[in-house]
Amino acid sequence: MKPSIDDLLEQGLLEPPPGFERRVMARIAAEPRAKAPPARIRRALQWLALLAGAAFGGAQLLAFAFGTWTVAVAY
Amino acid sequence: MNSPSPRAVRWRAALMSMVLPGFGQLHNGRPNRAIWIFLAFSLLSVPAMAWIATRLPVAWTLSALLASLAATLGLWFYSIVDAWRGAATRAIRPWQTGGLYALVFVLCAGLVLPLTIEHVRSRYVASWRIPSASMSPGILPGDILFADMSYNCPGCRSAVGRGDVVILTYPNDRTLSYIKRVVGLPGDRVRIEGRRVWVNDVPLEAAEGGQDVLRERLDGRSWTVSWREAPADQAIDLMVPPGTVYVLADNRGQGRDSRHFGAVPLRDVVGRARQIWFSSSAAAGVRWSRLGMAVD
Repeated sequence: MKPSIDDLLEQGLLEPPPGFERRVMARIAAEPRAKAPPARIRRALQWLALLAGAAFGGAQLLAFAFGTWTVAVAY
Repeated sequence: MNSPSPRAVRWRAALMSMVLPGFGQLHNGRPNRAIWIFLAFSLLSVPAMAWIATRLPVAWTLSALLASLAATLGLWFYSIVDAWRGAATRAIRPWQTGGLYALVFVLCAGLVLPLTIEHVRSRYVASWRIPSASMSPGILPGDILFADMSYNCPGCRSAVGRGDVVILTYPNDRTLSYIKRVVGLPGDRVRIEGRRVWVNDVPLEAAEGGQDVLRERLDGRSWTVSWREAPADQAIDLMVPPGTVYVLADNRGQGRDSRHFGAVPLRDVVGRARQIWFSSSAAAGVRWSRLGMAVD
């Protein structure tokens, strides 16, 4: 028969075994970490994003400033 | 971590204001200045052009529009120079994060500016290039004109009138726009016999301008039409159905109009031609004498 939850509460908390924290921390430190992309690629991506943003912004701005003068065709 | 050089900071601020006026000022830690520059650029430039193009007398329009365009570009240039100068005393504040810059950029460049110009072009003023000779001799191929788009809609300043030169959606292919002259309003009787046109039994032609070129007059307005190459035996007699208008090309021999595609629904009449602001042809180059000419 399984102990009831009230019986378990009266027994007190379980203690971790000796050296538990040290073993866990050692395992965490040994876990492989995701590699950051090389600095060259990161810089290239940043420049790409900057140029794309600048091209988009510049195009929008020109379309706005010259919007009144931009023509459509009427036959 | 290395901080960027003052020169790099200046270039960055100038570049930011180049792609969005006021953006460089935000980068420099001056949000109030950034907001005013952006508002001045976005609200006082193009909407001001729309007001000028639709409200000012035609004689003033072209010069006022060029002045407004110069003011817009000047404000843009000022924003760039101001951002460059202000970067020297840049104040770094906690809210100056990449996320905020991206949000401002997307909202302003991707939303506010496109929506503003779209609203202006659809509701106030738009430019149209005329590639065909369907409205000659008044409007020539190669003319570019402003059309008043605050026209023929609820709350608009003017309704469709006889004699108006209008921009309309071609009924048989709604991706195309046509420019024609309204001669018949809903309920009007339009009669065409040979080279003569009557509206409500009133003849349009007023005086001979030549063998094929006539001067027509209607409701106190007059314009020139050409019947060159037009069939002499055409005969039309109809009542313009409710909710539609009857349009004719001024070049009656070459233009396609309501004689071919029928009356046009009023809702498809989107603007009224107002003024030619540029005109050129491959043979003659820029036709300077037509610049600023009002559309009769």
